[in-house]
Amino acid sequence: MATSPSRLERRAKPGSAIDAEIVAVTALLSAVLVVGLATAADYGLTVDEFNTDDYGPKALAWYTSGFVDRSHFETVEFPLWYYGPWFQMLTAYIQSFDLADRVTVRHAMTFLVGLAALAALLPIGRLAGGRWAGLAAIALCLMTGYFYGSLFFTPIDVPFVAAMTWATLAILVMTRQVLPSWRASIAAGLLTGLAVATRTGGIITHAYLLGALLLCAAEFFATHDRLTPRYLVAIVARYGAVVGIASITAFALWPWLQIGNPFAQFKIALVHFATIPMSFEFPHWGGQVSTSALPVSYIPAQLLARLPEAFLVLLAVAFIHGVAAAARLARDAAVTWRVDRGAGLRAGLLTLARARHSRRVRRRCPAAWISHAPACDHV
Amino acid sequence: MLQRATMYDGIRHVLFVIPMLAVVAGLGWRALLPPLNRAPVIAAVVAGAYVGSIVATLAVLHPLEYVAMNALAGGTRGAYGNFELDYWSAAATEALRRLEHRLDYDSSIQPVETPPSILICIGWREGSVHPILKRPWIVETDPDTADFIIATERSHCADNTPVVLIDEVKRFDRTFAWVYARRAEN
Repeated sequence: MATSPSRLERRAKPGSAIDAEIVAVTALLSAVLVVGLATAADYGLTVDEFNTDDYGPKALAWYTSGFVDRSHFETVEFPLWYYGPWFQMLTAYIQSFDLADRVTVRHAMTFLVGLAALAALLPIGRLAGGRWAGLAAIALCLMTGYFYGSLFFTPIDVPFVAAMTWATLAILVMTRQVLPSWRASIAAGLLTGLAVATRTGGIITHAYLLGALLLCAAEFFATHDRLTPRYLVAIVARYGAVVGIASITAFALWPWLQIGNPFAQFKIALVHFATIPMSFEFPHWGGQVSTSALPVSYIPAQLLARLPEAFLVLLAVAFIHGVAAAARLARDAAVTWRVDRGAGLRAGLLTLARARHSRRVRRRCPAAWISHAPACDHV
Repeated sequence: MLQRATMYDGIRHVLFVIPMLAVVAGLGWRALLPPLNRAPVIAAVVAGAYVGSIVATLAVLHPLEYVAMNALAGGTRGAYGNFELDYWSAAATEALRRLEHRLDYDSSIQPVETPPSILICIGWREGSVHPILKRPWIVETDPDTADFIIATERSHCADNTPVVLIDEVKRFDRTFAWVYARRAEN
């Protein structure tokens, strides 16, 4: 987004041996790690932790008993088995070492997983926006009291944050190339599978992936003037591989999928959470709203109240900057369109497709990448 | 939301969007770097003061950082009552710790029976609070018979019972848990 390098950027060149942003992120996360672990015992046991602490050991027993012990389907609170238990099992395993009391170990584990999610923002920030975007993102998350506090005692949503963040990173890495590598595709499959195996909502990562792959195809079309059958087969094969690996991962990590037709089982859980039978009223911006009839603005309005002021200001700056950049690109595309319609279309597609990562786009003359048209010199 | 999904507990179900929004805000930060570099000292002082105020607020709220609200909502003090803040009843554990500590040195609130009974009003978990107890207690679920009751923002379970308020867990002068003792019978 920034067109000229800042002093910070000039001070720490990407090629230099020590990367100032990585050093800063490491220092920040290390300090937060120390504070978090030192204070993990202070946090209260929350409503969902009582039952997830019961779910973890029983889900672990499903595997250690050779898929015989069904207690986590029968003696835990409904509908816990509709959530994948990988984090609860991991916590139960660490708790078995008696390093501290169970509650403290649980809070420390939830915090560590949440911190791992934040660490992923460094590469995501670089891929999406460039240097210092990741550090700023991590700092903003840590400054958000609602988010930081939740890192200790929100036993299902924090592991989901981690799985979703790492899956998003995997998708970004995978779709950097017009034709993703197999290695990156396998990583995306494993991590999107982990997201699905945490909460049914993890399936949304496959929509992200599909969108990103469509942009890859758009870039291929713009640079080659057509979509070759060979390319289409290759990219569909990679998408299929991701979906297949994700399905196997989710199946392996989520016992609920193992006791019937996994797709039917998944649908049961998905439908349950989409139509969760719970209705009560609670305050929202001074009024009363019902859980089952929330206003369309509910999530943005909650974010408006719970995100720190600086977070909101920077979001607004990013939005305004994005709109201005889009307007400039549209203007350039319109000029190119008048000169050469085919080149204009390809330039527009290329610009749009390359927006999926932060590789600097030559806004002044995007068509030159394709046609090397001398007319671009006049744009 | 367009599908009218059921939601509650603030926005914990979509907590995963916050890191992604932070990345977008990070792009805003990058956009601001060139103008900020024209006055780096002023920018550093303003940013440092703002971050310092946030850290101080979180330190005051600890371990209830998640009830933090921004100035638009009136801060935690102003947002109290307008939003559901401690929906997890996390303040109940702090209230219990304070009560347990007080029982160790204040014999005046010790009931005759040993161990005393307690009702901790964490929704749907009143009967299973054993993991958070640090001293011998009898776990009670009936507010009319408990020696002590800890009420929470979501569960005001001591209303209309003959009890005396003996402690409160407060942040910015707003109460997140109330500790009651049974009134001594004459």
